[in-house]
Amino acid sequence: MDASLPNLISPFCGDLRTKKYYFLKGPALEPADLLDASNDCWCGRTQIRLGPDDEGVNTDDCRSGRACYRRAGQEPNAT
Amino acid sequence: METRTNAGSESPEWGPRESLTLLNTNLRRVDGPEKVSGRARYTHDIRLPGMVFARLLLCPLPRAEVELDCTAAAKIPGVVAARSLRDKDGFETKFLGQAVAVVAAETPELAEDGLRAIRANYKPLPWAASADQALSPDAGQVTKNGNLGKESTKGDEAKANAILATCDATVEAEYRLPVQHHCSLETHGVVVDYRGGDEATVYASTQGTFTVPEAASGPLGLSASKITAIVEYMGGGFGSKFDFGIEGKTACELAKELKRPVHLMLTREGEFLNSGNRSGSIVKLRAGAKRNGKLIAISSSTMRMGGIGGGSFSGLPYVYKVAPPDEEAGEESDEKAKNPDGVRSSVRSLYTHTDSSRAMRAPGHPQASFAMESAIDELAYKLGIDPLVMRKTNLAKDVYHRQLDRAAERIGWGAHPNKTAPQKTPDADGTVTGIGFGVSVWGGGGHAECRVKISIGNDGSLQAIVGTQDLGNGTRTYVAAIAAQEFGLPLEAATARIGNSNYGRANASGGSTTAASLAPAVKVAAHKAREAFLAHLAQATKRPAEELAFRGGSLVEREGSKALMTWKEACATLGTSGLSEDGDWQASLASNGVHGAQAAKVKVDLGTGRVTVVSMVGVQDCGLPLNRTAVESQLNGGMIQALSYALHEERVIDPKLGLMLNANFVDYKIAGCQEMPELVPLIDDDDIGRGVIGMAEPAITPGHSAIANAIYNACGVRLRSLPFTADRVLDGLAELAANGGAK
Repeated sequence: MDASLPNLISPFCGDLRTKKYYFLKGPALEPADLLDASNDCWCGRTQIRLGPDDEGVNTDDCRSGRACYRRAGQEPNAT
Repeated sequence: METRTNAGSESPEWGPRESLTLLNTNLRRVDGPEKVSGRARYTHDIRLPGMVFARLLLCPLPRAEVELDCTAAAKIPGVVAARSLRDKDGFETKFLGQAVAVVAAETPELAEDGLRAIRANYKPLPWAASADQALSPDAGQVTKNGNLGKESTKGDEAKANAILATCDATVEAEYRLPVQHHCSLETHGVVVDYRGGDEATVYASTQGTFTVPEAASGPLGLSASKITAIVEYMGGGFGSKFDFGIEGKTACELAKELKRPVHLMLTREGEFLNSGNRSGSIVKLRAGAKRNGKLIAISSSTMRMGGIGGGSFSGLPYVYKVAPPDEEAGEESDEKAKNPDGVRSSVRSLYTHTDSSRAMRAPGHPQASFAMESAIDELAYKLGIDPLVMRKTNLAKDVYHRQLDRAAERIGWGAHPNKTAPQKTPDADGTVTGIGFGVSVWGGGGHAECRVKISIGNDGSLQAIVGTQDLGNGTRTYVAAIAAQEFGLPLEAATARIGNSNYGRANASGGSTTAASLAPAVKVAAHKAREAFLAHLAQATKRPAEELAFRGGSLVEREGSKALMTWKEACATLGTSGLSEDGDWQASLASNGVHGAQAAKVKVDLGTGRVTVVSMVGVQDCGLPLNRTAVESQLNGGMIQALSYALHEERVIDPKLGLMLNANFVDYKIAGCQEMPELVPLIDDDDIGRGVIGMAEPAITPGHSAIANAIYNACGVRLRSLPFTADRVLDGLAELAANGGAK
């Protein structure tokens, strides 16, 4: 993406899912954009509350730097 | 009655409530006969040619090293697939009930045989299956950062303590809420119809028709645009069916592998172990009030117990206002009013090796309600103040005052003899009677998510078409009712076609947002279709459109009663393609923010400790009620679930063995016919002038709190842990006797 554009890239893994994810009108930029009252997060790749690395799924950890991280908009990795 | 409620206006409006012919009346569900006759086809009921049935093998321990040998299972005649869900030989599981393997077979029974034939070696690893275990220094670690999550705090402890020290009455207590299960009658699952090629259909028991294609695309290896989701009927979700789940992913992978339709629904045990729950909570709380009943301090420390997930808790103080300690001294700043010095809270997650909590009807609210309503009640009795008066003293919004008054009147609080102390002398049958109260709040509101098509055929058919799902709460009925009312037709004249991702888009059902998102789009589409149809008929009849209206199943003169032609005759003037219009959400037709108050009357048997809920009253606002019967049903359902939470429900795990002891409907008790009290659902009709708002969530929030307070009011036993079982009541009575009466 061109560097002159405003920040449209979510800092969260593209596989991070929450209830609020399904109501997003744009990229999730803050934890509050994703977290609803249930505080429930899951991985769209594993479809459970653990990531492909068997660690927990949440807005703190599902970010760049984690081995299984995938930037939103990238092709999903093999399951 | 005139149905053209906003003739001449550019944008649609609901119109005065008294003008509505179907909305705000008591409507029978249009799908009721389908459901009670068994004709309604749920995902569970789908049977397709060549379909196989799949079952998941769940880890029976909270944490284990797992080795699997599926060779014998795969050799059973009729078993078509038996494999680990992992691509490596030995792996570690992180929660009780984690799926580890799958078997697919020609029949469900053969799939079960296959599961039994898998050689699974579970080597136990140190686990934490309870709060005590999780807090123990030698506990198994659930996350890489330990078992306690980050602490989130609000307020200053020293300031709150200083105010607490000045209070005329204080309460210091610990409140415990167990894990509660959703208990959806239809378990989680899907049927994936894929036989090769580049298209698939997924039948899903889901709260979001449009969440399915995206979730299924990865495991099926297809573009989401090539996947159709069907959600014709679904048997309840209560928040737990937002995600596709391991069952959805695995079924898609199997279908892709086998090129055959796959039916994978969780068993009831699987549902308890592997489909989420309402998180448990441990709340340590200190609260204080002045002699006049004003709450001036509350300091709390909460642990949310959401298994491997974070758990939910909506925060304290819940609904009630904490006043500045010296309110008479002058006006507080807005900042001080929002964050009074008397409030301090700390919340953190306590992780265990158990299934994660998920959204469940008003996530976090019933937990916070129990601590808050109990504390308010305890302070009221300590100060000798009527608990109803105490509540109104600390509730800033007028809406709660009128709702509490209405609930109090209906439950008989005015004539109740023991308002400020438990009943002194039991009745002749050895029982005592008490009344308790609680309040609730929810945001709700709508989103611009839905696109609805209204289609009128030249045969007289009227259809409202949108892909939304009906969770069992009456969506199909109000979609049809909005369309029918727009044309002055009876409910049965309109058909709602829903539950298909090829129809117009709709939001997932969560946070009580469906009605406020969907109903406006139906109204807009119907309004546009009516305007277009009238324009067509004006041309056909050579009369100005402004002089025409639909009423009583006919096209009529707007001023007067002359029927010009029947609805069917009018439709026959359309071409063979009929007429259709699309509608999107319109903000002015929806509102947000709902409030509720509930009261419970109980009898406590002093000999057996048994609590019988005699009566529950729920008062609820909801903006414009689309279907009064459905709103009342939501209120009844909320009160029933709260009663069940109060008296019965509790996930029981043996922490040593690591087993869930009640993963079935025999041992996990939910309230049944015998426990049903008189239920009085009251719609707050003083809430006028607002648009549609969802109200399903708050109906569940205060009922268990009201029951706890009623038990105290009856017998003087303050129960601070759910469920309120007879043994807990008897223990409380024994303690009271030892201490010389209620404190």
